[in-house]
Amino acid sequence: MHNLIVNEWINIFKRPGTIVMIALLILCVIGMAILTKLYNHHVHSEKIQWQQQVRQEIKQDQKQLSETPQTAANVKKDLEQKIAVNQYRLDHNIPPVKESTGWTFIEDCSHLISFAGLFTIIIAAGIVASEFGWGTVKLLLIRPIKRYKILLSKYITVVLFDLFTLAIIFVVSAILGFALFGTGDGNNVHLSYTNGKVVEQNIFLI
Amino acid sequence: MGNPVVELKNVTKVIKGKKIIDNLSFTIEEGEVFGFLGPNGAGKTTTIRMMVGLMKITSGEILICGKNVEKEFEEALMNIGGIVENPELYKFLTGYQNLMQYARMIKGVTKQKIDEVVEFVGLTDRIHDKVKTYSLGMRQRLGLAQCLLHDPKVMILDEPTNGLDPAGIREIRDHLKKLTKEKGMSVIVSSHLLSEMEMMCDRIAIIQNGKLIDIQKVHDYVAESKQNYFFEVDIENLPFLNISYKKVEKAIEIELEKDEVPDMIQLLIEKGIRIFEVKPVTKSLEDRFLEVTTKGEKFHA
Repeated sequence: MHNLIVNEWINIFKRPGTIVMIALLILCVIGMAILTKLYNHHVHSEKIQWQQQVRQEIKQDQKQLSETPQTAANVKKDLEQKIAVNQYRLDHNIPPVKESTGWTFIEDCSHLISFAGLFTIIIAAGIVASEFGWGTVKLLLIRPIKRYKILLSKYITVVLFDLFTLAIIFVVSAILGFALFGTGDGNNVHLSYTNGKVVEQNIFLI
Repeated sequence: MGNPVVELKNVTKVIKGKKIIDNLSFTIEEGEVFGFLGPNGAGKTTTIRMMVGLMKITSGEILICGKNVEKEFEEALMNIGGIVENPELYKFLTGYQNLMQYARMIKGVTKQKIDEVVEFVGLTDRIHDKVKTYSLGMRQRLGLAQCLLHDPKVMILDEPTNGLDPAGIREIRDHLKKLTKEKGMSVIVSSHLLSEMEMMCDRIAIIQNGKLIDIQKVHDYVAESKQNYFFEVDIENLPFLNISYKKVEKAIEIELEKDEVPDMIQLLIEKGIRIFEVKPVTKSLEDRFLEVTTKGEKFHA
């Protein structure tokens, strides 16, 4: 079983297509890093009056909330969460992090996870089908191994591949983020809205 | 010899109400090269696919070394190495990586064994090149290497000489001979190349429309001690001969045992007959094949 997964793994990584996918992922992260770096120059000045700004934001959001029709439940929920988080900032004196740090960069890069999903779908679609396309399935199925083992090992390989692409995004964005933006001032609290409450979290827990 | 390694018992395959294979039974013994012959669409590939478990058997059973292909798949398939149709390999891997793939799937295949097999099929120089760059002949050889990795008792080759040049065909033939004689492996070969089969196989099964028509030994020396001999002679001045013979075009045919041939030649010379050529008449496989299959066709029509 273990050897079957090794086989599939080698099969995936010896194909030029896979290398292109991984290169694309890394390029995306690098592109994000460049954009963030450029954008970062413009947001330095507004650190002083953050309480006022946050209050303004809450007001706006509340107005929007009252205007939103009942049917748009998702929008309403997002707004409610935003208001709650902002209120928490005021109550506990936690200024919003406007400046990018390595931590926020990793969070930004988590949007790229959908790309990782896309590539995993491509691999998953091909892992059985292309064996038929190449005609290699005949040589594979006449091994003294039960079918379910072969298919199961293919499934596990797909899952592993997904984890692998996620790891690539995380590791590359962490390296780039800390190298370009530093680790921040240690005050990198991430506020998240869980189970109707605002919670302070370390970014690792998102 | 004498140990059946592959047994087919009343195997029938029905696809969409059509009988593709009809009640096929035969056995293949240890150390023999068994040929599988039939016109296109006779069911050769279907039978082979059922033997390796790529297709379900509608009724009947196939035993490989006593193990049922359907019920004891893993045990039965341990004894089989095969190429079904063309040897399709991973083109983006090297020959060696391809072999590693198959080696990993079966316990106990060592690196040494891989090298040995590569050496055997004569691919040592190119084994680390990508399969993309291989010629068809080299792919066939790699396919052969792939099925030898786990020392199977039976090798099943569907058209092994397809696309090979004469030297390659000869090489494969020699390989098969070596494998059967030295290791006691049995080989099942299917082909439509009659002359090839004749040189390669010990026994040949002819099937048509899914039915077994005939099984023949190719070199039936023992059973047929008497053979027709072809004497090319000056047929116009033929004196009376006190023997039974058959006149053919520009020659006569006499049924003789091998020992009697020199005596017969002497006799003919004493009679003043000029002999140009003497040779045994062997019915080629092609003659037999056509004889048997056309008979079958007439029967069906």
